[in-house]
Amino acid sequence: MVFIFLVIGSLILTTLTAAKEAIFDRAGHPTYQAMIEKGWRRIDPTREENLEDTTKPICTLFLEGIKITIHNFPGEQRISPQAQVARWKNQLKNLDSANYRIEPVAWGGYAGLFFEGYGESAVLGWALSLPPNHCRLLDDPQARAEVTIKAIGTCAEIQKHREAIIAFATSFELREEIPHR
Amino acid sequence: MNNILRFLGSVYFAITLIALTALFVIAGTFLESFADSHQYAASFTYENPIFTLLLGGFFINILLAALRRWPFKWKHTPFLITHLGLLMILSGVIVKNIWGLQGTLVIWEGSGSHDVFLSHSHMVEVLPRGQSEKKRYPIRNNRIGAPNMQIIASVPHAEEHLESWIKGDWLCISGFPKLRLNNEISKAIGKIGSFKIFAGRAEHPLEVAKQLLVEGPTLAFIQDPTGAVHYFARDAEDQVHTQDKWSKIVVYDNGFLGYYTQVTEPFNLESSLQHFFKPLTPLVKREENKPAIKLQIDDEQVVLGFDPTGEGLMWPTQSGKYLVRFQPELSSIPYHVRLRQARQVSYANTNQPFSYECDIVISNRNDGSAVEKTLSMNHVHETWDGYRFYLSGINPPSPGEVKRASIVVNKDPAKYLLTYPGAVILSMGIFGLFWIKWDDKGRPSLRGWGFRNNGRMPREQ
Repeated sequence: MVFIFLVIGSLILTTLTAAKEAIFDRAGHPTYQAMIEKGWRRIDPTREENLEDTTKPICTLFLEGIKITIHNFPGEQRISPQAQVARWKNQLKNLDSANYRIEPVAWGGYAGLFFEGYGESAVLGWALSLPPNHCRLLDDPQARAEVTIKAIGTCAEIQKHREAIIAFATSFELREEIPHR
Repeated sequence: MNNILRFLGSVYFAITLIALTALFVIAGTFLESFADSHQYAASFTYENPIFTLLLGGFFINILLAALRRWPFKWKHTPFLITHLGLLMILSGVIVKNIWGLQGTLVIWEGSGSHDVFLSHSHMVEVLPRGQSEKKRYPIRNNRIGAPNMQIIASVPHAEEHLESWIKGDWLCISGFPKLRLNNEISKAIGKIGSFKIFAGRAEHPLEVAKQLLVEGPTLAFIQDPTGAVHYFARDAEDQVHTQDKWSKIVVYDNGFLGYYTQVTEPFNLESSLQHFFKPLTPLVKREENKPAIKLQIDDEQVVLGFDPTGEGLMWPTQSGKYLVRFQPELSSIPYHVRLRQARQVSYANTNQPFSYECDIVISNRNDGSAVEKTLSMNHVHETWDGYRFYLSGINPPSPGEVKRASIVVNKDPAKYLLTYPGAVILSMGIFGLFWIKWDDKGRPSLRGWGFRNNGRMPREQ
């Protein structure tokens, strides 16, 4: 009986703590989705904002002092994950080689790099792009766009919420599946 | 007739069948370890018609052995239950072989499918120009079920070669006359504008190119021993451009007008991509054989190599009227599977694979309900209606690349109706045979623990 209550309780808790939410692209369409925890504060750009400027995020999330931003880059010119990660590395002050790591990652059709660095502040970042074989199957340039997910905060905060941020980032995907080849 | 029926239901026939089946199983084990191929062993044993006959023999033997007890008495109950269980299990095998499903879903991360590639099957997929629906024509006994198609030749194993710039002894560049290769690669065979053209074959194309490109403007097309052509150019500003094998393939009109390989530096050049097949001796490991067929479609012939994942190029035929591909048969299942991530799990601090896993979303196509599951090598998902999903492999295993998972889908329609209940009934029958005795009035009683009769087995009732 206790076991059944525990199972039902954990299921309810999971439903209450995280939910799959749509994330809108620069054209205002719900192109992406991710599991976002209930306690996180979410700010989407207003309709008046000019989202052609790719320096502006398509979605921003706040968790205590941590700011998580999602950008997509739907232009013709592709930005490689290596270039994004190199930029993040340069942005972190007091970063030495022992305090960061870069790992290849792939999920949801995306492939790219994961960057984790601890300097004066801390960054968890993912730079993702779709391979050409996936891109050619997608008509919408927003869906074909490269994506970055970056969390910035103090070292203590990032370490405290590291698992939750990784779970959020790795749940990010295109809402519509890539057509079968 | 009576004697034949008596023999078919006798213990002698049963022992003969058991002995023959044991020989098949032994042969299957040895053949599989010899050839490292389940398919090779199965073709001689479990998929052999003689093995099917043996199963049929078992069914007749068990059925007649039970019917021989007619008129039945109470004391026959355990014996009949045991035989009923055996018949149910055998029926389950027969039903599974005829109506069961065994195939593979091949899905890329981010993508999904509900079309299962059926094992050991072949078909030709046809896409008519201007239509989005592909037509599927299964191949059975080297015959294809399409009115205007006929298989005129087939080989069990062939190697595919792609040809572009160098076809036979000719350099072929679209829009220019063909140029014949000479025996000395160091001599130019023609000119395009101010560019001298070299073409030929060499074991190490790069080394040869270094000698040819000492001064520009120069173009060089050098074929390596595998048949692939490497492109090198040195322009008027002494910039060197290269292209390795098929690094750029251009598709015209979704393939209906064919495929071209292209170089863009220092200027655009194209050559049509063609394929041909070299028949090879079939491999003992049959899973690795790549069959090829020659099809007659109306008045045109086309040669197609087997595409086991149905993802390669479809080839144009009838002047671009159709695209065709030779691949396994497809069967749609009522579940759509989307692959989120496939990954290799390694032993700590090593790259040695410990396990493979994949995260999938399985949606019921009828009611739209969906569940998220993680499959691994020993973690199978089974739906309420008996579809089982196993992870069979992922490719490529490296973490930074988009991966493709092969998920085996199996459905045994008889499992819950015949096979499992049959096993339960068989167990009950065996229990009854050994532990329940029946008196002359048909009243059952437990035999008690341990054998009586001086340790002998209880007599057949």
